[in-house]
Amino acid sequence: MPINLQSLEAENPESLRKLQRLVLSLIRRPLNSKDRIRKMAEDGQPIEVLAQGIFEPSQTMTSLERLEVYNQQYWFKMLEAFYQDFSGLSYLIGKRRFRKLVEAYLEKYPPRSARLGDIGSELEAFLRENPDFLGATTQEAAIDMVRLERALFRAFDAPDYPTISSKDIIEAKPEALRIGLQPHISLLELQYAIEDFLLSGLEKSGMGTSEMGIVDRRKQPLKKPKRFFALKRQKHWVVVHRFRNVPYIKLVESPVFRFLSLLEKGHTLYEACEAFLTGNDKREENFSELQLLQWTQEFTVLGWFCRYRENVL
Amino acid sequence: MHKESISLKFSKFFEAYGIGIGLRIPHYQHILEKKPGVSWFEIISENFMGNGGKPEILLDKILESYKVVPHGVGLYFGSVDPLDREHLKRLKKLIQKTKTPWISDHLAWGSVDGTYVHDLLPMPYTLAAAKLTAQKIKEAQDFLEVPIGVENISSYAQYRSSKMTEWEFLTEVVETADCGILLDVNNLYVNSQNHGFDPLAYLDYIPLKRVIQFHIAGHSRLPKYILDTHDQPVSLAVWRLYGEVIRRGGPRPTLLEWDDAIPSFEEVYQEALKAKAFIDAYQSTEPRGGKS
Repeated sequence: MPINLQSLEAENPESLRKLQRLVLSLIRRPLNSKDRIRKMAEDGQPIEVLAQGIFEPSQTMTSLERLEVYNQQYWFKMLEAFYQDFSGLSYLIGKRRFRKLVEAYLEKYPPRSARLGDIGSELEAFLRENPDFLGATTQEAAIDMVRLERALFRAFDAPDYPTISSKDIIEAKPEALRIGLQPHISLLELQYAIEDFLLSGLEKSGMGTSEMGIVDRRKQPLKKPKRFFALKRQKHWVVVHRFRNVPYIKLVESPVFRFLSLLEKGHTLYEACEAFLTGNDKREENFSELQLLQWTQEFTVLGWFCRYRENVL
Repeated sequence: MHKESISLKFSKFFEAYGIGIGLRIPHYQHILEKKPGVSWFEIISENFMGNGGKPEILLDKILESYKVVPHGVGLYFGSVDPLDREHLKRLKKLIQKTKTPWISDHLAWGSVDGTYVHDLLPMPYTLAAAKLTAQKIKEAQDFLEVPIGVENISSYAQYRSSKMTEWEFLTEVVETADCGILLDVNNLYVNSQNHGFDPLAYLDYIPLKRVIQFHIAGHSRLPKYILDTHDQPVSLAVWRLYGEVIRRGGPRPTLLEWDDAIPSFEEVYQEALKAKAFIDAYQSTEPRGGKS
C-alpha cells in the first residue's frame, strides 16, 4: 500500500515513528551493483518519490541524492565492520559472495544493539539456515571460520575473573571442586584447519603471529591469504584465549578438550579427570596422570581457571 | 541543573580540562610508553562499555595518568524508541570508572522498533520531536547523575516536515531538558554550507551559556556537499568560527576529533593546540577569569 506522506509530519510521537520507520527502511535497502541507491523500495514504490516526500532538495542536491548519502553511509559502515570482524570468512568465500551474504544476513538479523561489536552474533545461525550463500565453500568450513572469528572477538572483549591457583586446586576435594574457565576462553571443535588459513593472511599483513598471537585483529583486517592455500579437512580442537592482553589460538588434544569442556559445563574436577584418563587409555600406565598434571599446571599459569559461575557472560 | 550557575560551572570545566584529543587505537602505544603531556582524552563510550575485556584493561592504564571524558554514539535521544536501560547502566559504570564531570552524546536518532543503523541521523525539527528528545535527555541525565552535553550533528538532509530551524530546535531541546550543548564547530560550519544558512545567526540564537564543550575537526569538500570526515586538519573557516564562538561565550573544554587517516600523535596534538591561540586572544581581552 502506498505510504501517505501526509502522515509523516512528525507532529506527534506516532507520526514521528512512522517517519523514522520509513527513513530507516530506505537507508537499510541494499545499494545497487554500482554502490548507488536503488530505484525501487522493497514494496515497489519509487524511492525517488518517497525521498521527495521526506527531504527538501538543496541548491546542489536532489532529495534522492540526500537520501543516498545516508544509504551509502549505512552500507559502507556495515560492510567495513563485517570485513573487519569476519575477514577470514570473506576471503574464504570471496568478497562478492560475502557482500551478498552480509546483505541477506542484515535483512534477517538487523542490528539490535547500540554496540557495533554485536552485529555478527547470529552469523553462525544464519549460515546453518542458509548454506546457499557459500558457493563452493563447504558449510562446515565456513561455520568453523565464523566460530573461530567470534571466539577471537570474545578473547578480545570478555573479562578476566580472578584466577584460582594450583594450591587452591590441590587443597580442595576433587569430588566437590568445580572450576570455571575464564569468560574470554572458547573451546572449539573444528572440522577444517581453518586457523592455518586465517594465519596465512595474518602473516601477509605483517601482524605478529608468533605463538599464534593475534593483536587487535578487529581493527586490522587480515590481508588476502595465499591464493592457492589448500583448506585441509582435519578434525581438531583448539582453545581460543587471551594471555597478557593478546588473543591466542592453542591446539589441544581431544582428551584435554573433553576435560576442559566438562569443567566448563560445571562438572567436578574429579569427573573431568576421569573423562580425561578414560579417553587417554592408549598411553602407558601413569603417563596420563602425569600429563594431566602437567596440562593443569600449564592452564593455571595461563590463568585459564577461575571460580565456577553459572552463565559467565 | 541550576540555570544561574550553568555558565560558571561549565567554564570551570575549561580551567580543569583545557584542550584534549580523541583517544584512538594507533596512538595507544605512544601514549602508554611516552606518557605525553595531554590534559584529557575523549573516548567513544560504546567502545569501553563491554564486558571488561581488553579495551577496559587499556582504559584502566590510561586513567592512571589522564583525565577521560566519554562521548557516546548510542543513546539516540531522537529515536521514538525508549532509552535502552541496559545501555544506560553500562554507561553509568563507565562514568563511575572515569569519574568524568560530564558526558556527551548526539542530537540525533538512529534506531526504530529496536533496529539500529549505527549512524547519527538528523531530526525533523518539530515541537513534538523536540519534546520527545528533551524528555529522553532529561531521563538519561537524571539516571546518570552527570550533566549531558548534546552535540549538534553534521547533516546532509533536511526534512519537509521541519517547522523550525536547526538552532531553534537545539535551543528548544536543551532548554526543556536543562542540559548542556556540545557545540561541534566543524558540524556547524558543515551544516551552514550544506543547508545554506549563516552560522552567525545560529550563534546569535542558541544559549551559549549552556555550551559545555567544543569539538573541532576536519572535513572534506565534495562536488555537491561537504562531508564530515575527521580525516584532515581543521579548516581555516572552522578555526575562525571557533574564535568567534569563544569571543561570544568564553572558552570551554575543546577536543579535536581525528578519526580517519590518523597521523602521528604529535601531529594530532599540535593541531589541537592551535585552539590555544584563540583562547589566548579571548583571555587577553577579558578581565581575569573571562566571561561567565
